[in-house]
Amino acid sequence: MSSVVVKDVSKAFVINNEKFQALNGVSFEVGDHEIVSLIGPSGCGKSTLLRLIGGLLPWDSGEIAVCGLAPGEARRQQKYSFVFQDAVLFPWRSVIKNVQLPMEINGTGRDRKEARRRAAEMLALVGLKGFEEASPHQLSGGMRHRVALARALVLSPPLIFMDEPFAALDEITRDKMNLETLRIWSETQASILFVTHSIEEAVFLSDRVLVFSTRPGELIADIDIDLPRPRSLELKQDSSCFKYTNQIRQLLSRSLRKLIDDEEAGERQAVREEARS
Amino acid sequence: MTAAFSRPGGRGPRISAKAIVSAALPWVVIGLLLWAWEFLVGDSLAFVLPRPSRIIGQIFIVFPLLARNMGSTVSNAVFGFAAGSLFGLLCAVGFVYSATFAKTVYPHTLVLRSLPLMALLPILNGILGTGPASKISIVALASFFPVLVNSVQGLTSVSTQTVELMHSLNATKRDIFWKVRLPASLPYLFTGLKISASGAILAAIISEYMYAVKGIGALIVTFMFGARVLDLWAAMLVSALLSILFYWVIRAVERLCIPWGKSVREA
Repeated sequence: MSSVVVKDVSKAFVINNEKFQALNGVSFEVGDHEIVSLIGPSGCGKSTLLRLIGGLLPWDSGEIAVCGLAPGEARRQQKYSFVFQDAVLFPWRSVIKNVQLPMEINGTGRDRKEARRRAAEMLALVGLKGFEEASPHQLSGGMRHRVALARALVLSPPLIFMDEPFAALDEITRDKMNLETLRIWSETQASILFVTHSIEEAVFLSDRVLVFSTRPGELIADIDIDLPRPRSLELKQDSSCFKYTNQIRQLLSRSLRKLIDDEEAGERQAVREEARS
Repeated sequence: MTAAFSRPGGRGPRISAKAIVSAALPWVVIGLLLWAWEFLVGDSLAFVLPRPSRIIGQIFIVFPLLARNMGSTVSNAVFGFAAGSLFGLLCAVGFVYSATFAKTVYPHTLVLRSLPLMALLPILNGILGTGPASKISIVALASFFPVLVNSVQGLTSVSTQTVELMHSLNATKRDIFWKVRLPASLPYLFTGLKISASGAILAAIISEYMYAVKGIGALIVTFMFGARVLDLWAAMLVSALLSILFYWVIRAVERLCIPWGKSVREA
């Protein structure tokens, strides 16, 4: 069974009485234990798409199923967890208490000893053994994201949604976090749906990369990344990797070119109409 | 900023000269001012500005009188501060959770803030009698607004990502309030409390200007009409010290309640 099915989904926002088509007829599937990246220019609706799938926003038309359930229901049954660009840790909680948060909210944290053991296990998994009682502000940016990952893993959800999780980190830390993500993923059964701006990151992590165009957000390519696993950072310098990054870059620049042409045509049209009146 | 340097091969950290200067500077300035007042101004303006040494001497003389009157002032200030702050916080919660309530009530709170407390005194005395209730209300009124405004800001200081995270975890509104909004608002709440605390003693004193037989405010009025300049200065100094003390108490509570806030400030 596919963990995510998206069929012909559209979503529009109304901003200042003007309709703005964020997503138009998007269809794809995410298989079991698969990493799929969504990439596209800003404003292509990829983050919006993640929120639709997560049941955080309603959509206009089409079908979405998460683990065979409607998104809202999947959320209630905690089939997925979110990791955001910001680690979103609470400074008034110790690191381990931050990781225990999901268990506190769903009530499984009532067995305190078990909750603590589970949270400590997750911290060990992300390489933060010994930092249980630290305060979030004592950690570096990379370490904070590890805590966010541990929190996302603590309920062992079959799906993890990651919304540009490492975008605010420096290049070196980001490479390290990419490797860590792959290692952690290989030690769990989860599928990952990963939104990113970085072509290299998308190729390095994913089994498939979904390329989006903007205005309206449409899926323009679904590319299988046929690179061996486990992957190491050397892969980023390998020609097999370049083949994919170049292909994606071409697709993105073509869609960008079209966007600029459309805009210019629109402007010319507006000028003509103004001249006529 | 206090910087501690440890020299290579040295014996532990040393406090830099710069740190000593910056710590001493405020005391040097106040010392110089007092010195100028004591020896340059001297007794030339004694009828309005007696020398500091005489004021301090006078404090010891009138202190028993001040001490007998301090109790009611401090208790009015503390109770008024507590009531006003609590009411401010509750209103802030109401505003954050009900847009209608915020729209209808929030603008009027500014009017409440803008009323002259002195003019309110006879009115509140007429309604609540001349006992402590009217005086506590004056202090509460003065404490209410700073706590309200800061709490509203604090409760809404939570980022969209945080709210999304909580929703993705299936959190209820109650979870979001107790686990996120309230703790996130604490640094803001304490900013409001500190402003209110330093104002509470002053408001309590104002509330004793009329219809009061005890309290530092009543004493000040007596001193004023008796042209007892030295006593007036002594009372002024003692009220200032009380205000500062109250502020320090709240600051100490703040440090206990939000250990993370301190580190954030220092980072």
